[in-house]
Amino acid sequence: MGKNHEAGSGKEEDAMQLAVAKQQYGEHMDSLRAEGLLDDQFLELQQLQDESSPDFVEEVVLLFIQDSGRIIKNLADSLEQKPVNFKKVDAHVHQFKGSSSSIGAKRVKAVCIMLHMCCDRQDQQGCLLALEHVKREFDLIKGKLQTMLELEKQIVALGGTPPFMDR
Amino acid sequence: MMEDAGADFFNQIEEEEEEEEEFCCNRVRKCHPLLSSSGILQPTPLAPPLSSSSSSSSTNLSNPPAAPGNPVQPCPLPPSPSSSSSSLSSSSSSKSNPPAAVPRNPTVSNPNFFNLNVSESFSTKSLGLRPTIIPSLSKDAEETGVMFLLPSSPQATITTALSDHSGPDNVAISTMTVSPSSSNDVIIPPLKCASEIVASVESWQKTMVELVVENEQLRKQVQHLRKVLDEKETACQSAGKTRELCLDEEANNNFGLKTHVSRDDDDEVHICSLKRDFTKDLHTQQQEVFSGREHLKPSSASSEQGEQHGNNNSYEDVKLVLERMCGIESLLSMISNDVPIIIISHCDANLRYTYIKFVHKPLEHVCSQDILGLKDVDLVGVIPGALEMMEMKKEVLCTGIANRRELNVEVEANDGVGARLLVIACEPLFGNEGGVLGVTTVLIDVTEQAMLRERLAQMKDEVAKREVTEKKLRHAIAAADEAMEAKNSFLAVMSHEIRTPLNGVLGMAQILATTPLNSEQKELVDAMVFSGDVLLAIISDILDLSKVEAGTMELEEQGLNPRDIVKHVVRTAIAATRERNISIQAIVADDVPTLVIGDPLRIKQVITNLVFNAVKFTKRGYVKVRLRVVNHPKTSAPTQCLGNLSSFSEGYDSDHILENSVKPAAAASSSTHLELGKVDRKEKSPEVRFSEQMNTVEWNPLLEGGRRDIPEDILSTVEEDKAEEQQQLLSDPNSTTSNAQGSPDIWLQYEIEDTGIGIPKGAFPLLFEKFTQVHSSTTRKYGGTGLGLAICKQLVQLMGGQILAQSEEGKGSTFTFTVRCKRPTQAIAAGPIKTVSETKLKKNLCHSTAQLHKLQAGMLNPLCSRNSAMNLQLLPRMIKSEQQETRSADSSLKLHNGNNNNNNNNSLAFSSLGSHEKSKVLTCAAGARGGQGAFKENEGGVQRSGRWDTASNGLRRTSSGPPRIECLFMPQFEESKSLGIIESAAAPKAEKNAPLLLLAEDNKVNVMVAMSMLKRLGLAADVAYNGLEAIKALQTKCYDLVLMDICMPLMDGLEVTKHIREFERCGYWDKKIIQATSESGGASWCQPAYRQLSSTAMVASQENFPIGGGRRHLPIVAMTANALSNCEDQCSKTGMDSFMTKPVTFKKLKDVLDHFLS
Repeated sequence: MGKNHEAGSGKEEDAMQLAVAKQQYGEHMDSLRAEGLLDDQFLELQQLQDESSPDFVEEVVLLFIQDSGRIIKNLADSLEQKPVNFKKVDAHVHQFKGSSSSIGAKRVKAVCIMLHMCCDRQDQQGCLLALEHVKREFDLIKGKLQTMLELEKQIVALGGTPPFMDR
Repeated sequence: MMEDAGADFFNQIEEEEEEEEEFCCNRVRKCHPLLSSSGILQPTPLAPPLSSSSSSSSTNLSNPPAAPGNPVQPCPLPPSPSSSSSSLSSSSSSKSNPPAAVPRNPTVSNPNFFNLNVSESFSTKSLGLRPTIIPSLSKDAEETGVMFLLPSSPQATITTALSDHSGPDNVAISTMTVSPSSSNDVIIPPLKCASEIVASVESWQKTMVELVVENEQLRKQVQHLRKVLDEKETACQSAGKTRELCLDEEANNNFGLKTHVSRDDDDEVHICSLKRDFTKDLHTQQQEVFSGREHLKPSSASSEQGEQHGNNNSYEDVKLVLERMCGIESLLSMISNDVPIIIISHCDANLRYTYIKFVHKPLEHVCSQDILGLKDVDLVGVIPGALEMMEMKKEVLCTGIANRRELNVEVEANDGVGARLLVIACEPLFGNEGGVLGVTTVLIDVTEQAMLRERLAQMKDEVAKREVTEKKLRHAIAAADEAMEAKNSFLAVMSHEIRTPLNGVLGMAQILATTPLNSEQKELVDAMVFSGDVLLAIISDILDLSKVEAGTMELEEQGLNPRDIVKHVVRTAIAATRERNISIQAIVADDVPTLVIGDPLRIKQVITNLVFNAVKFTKRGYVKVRLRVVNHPKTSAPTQCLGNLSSFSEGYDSDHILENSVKPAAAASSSTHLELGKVDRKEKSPEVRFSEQMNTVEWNPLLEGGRRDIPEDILSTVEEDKAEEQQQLLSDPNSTTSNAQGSPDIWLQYEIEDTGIGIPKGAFPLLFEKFTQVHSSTTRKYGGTGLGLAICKQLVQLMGGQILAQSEEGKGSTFTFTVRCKRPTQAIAAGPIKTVSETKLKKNLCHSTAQLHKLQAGMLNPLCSRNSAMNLQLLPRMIKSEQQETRSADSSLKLHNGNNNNNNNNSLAFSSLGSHEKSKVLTCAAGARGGQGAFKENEGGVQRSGRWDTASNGLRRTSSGPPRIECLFMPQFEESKSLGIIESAAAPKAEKNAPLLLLAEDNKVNVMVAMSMLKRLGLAADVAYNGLEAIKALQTKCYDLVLMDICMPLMDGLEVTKHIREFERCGYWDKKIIQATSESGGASWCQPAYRQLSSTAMVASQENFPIGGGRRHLPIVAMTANALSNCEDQCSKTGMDSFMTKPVTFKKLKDVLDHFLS
């Protein structure tokens, strides 16, 4: 009984923890959306995750983070060159904008557009400033996405499924 | 002593002058036909009060020219008085008179021009106001002539042509110069009172004649006496004296009293010798004169007295006076008959007149006899002029220096004299013995001249002013032209430059709108987007206008469906006026083809402008858009609409009239009542309505106001043509339907009728002008820039048509315009023009959007702010609700389309509908066709799908915000595209035969997402990470569809598409492509499976796969994140079939694939 009770209480605890985790996850996602960090596009991604590709979101997010890190580095490098090859910079920006928009990282995308416009103007200072914004936004979303992934893992570890898959 | 010496000097000078003058007089006498015989001047019939200043200072005869009035050779002469000094006499009086002493009349503005009205030829040629001539005369005069220096300038010369009686060859030019040195007295017109004057006229004239006779007698006596004297003197005097007398005699001879000395070509020589003689004898003479001077009494020495006395001194004096007078007179008479009034007079030392003669036009009422013995002041009273003259005479007497002056004399008399400007030349007259005999005065009335001079000066001033003005005007014109050009280029450049960042701002605002915002923020952002849209639309308008004005607007020539354009606009308008009580209808005539060649964008722009204008000013009632084909643009005159319309309406089957009367939203939900298939009973028949409109105001902007550059005659011919057309119409009411099919041109007539506020008659002239609205209150109430109609007019003109407006205030307006389109050639009709036209249509939608927003912005003014707020809030909801409600309609229409597909009809869904049910009144309901695309799955997706659409649509004109009206049309667009493709893309959907897709995308994240989505759809795709890889993949495999990213490394999507289309057309790849693809080697583009393909397999595949051999049209769907650029245009131009903005959503992808692969 006692064992059962213990097990039961453990289960309850797990359930509690899962509920908490889910709540946290939900709150986290809500805040992400509320802060405009993510948009509906991210929901699209989440919807694409199913049994056949259970880690799709994680994969995409990780790919995004990895790819974006590379692009930002390229961007910074390109902007340090003299003279700045704005075409090249713009190509990077375009890449970044594409991927951030695909993942639904709205604010990153917005600052990417800013950066793109600076490129159009061939405004190096503006580009650098915009790049700072891009970095900051990216770091922000990166942290949030990682938190999200951790929460997801936590949920999964607790035997649950990510809320977006509760259908 | 000093005084004496000075007097001597003067005497000497005067003496000289006298001699000189004498000679001159002789000369003149000899030459002048009037004088030569008698040596006496002919009595001049009239001589008003005159002044005669003749100075003798230098009276020279110029070289005899061939004929009277011959132009004098111009020779420069310094205009200083000294120039006259270089005349005949070696010493000149002018030397002693500095030019500074020359008084100027202040009223004479330009004293250098002395317009003496002498004979015609004379005045024009010599006086002629041309200073160059005058000096030349002086120069001539220096040689032989008589020169008078008239006092208007330091020296003015009058030349007159004289003809010697001996023959025309001996005609001489006489030049009269009145130099400053010549001092003369002024004779004030001797007018005491009117009665006396009038009474004395006749006697005075008699006296004149008598005087002449007396003079003649006197002369004879003088001659006689002189002879006697000469004999005595010859006997008694020394050799020097003899010489002098000889000279005297010769002078007398020359005077022409008894002989005529033959003057031949040796004149000059003779004169020169005379000159020399004078010079040599100067000293001797001087002494002589000096010795006799003491005896000279300057007291009254009238001619009579002189004659009576016979005394040597007085005789000499009288002789001198008379000779002097006659000389002056003859000279003056020679000058011209036109010299107004010249008075020659002599006063004694007491300034009493001893001699007076009026030359020319003498004052009829003044008797010269009465004047003798009087002083100036006695004559005319103590007036400033008279006093001045007296003073002047006194001065001349005292100083012995000749003087001249211009005087203003005002005579109070009713003889019309009034204020006169007289030139007075005074000179002292010395007796032979050197005593002062008195003052000789020549008074010339130059009032006329002065006036003329003044007028001339005024005219010159005026001319100068006008020239300056003209210059300024020319400058202004040039500046205006430049400014115009600058303005146009500025507008073009600035509009572009403004649009680009504005697009950016709008893009950002749209992004902002997608972020979570509270309601207030949301409203603000929406307002921001709206404002941006309006601004963008206005800028576009300005750009268009400036383009048209600068002549840089180029019309496109491409296939378009005129029916569709109407429908699109009408639907947009309906959507925009959902909550208002307006019914908007499109009525398209039977014979309107579905395909013509023209500029769909511009046509649409005009319709949109007019429709939205109509909607804007219509509160209730209807707006109807009619489209029909007309024979000739000129039949579009409103009067003919009556005839046309009746036949026009016959084409419609009333059973098929669809009506959409949009009722005002009952609640905030803005539920829409679509009444399809219901006949509009409220609507009057067209005939009735038009007969009503007969009384309304008509206005043709092309014939009035609007086109002022058209010459009147052209206008009239236009009118005539119209009349003819009208007659034709009356006789054959169905003429419109029997269109000249052979003609390459087709004229479309659009008519937009509303029941709005109408246009007041007075506003018509400005109706189509830029930046004008009917009334300033209109702007306040309804908003707008007043550019719309101006653009319409310009565009319509550009398209070869005309625009007409007729309106009745308070009842409504009708705008009619015609455009010239071309009939499609067979090739075009069959060709892929549809695709292009569809895309263009889609592009055109943007203009509607801009219009819509302008309209809404117009409502944003304080008066209708509530309304507009409602609009803002309603719009998204409206779209949603509409779409929900129209689901059923949508499905039915889809069915319809399916049927049409069998007809191989590539046209748009609506146009196909139109072709099946021709000549139905199509009443388009916005959203009647809920989208197959974006709107179909609209759970929260409306916004994004809206964005999707607008991002693609808004590229050209506006980047619209998320909730957009034109979203409503996108589904149709999608559908229409599918229509063209469906047949070819009928690939089975079964898993086994899963369509082969190629995803050309360089962004890994995107690829991953897209692949995942495809997977979810049960599809897979090959991935090419750049353009070259894409082409390689296409070379190896036959794909059913390509999802093409535009922005790719190595080769962008547009270029890839170009090559693909090229390949489809020609059947082979461009060499460069083959080279590039083979060079790039690696097969990174493929999924592992494809990497196994060998190059041989690739070659083989080219032959086998339909894309190579069959040249099947490969659907290419563009994917781009570049929502802010003109990407969509490029895509459609390049030959892409569809366009997807990133991020790619599951729905979008599914829709596209559904369309192309179903």
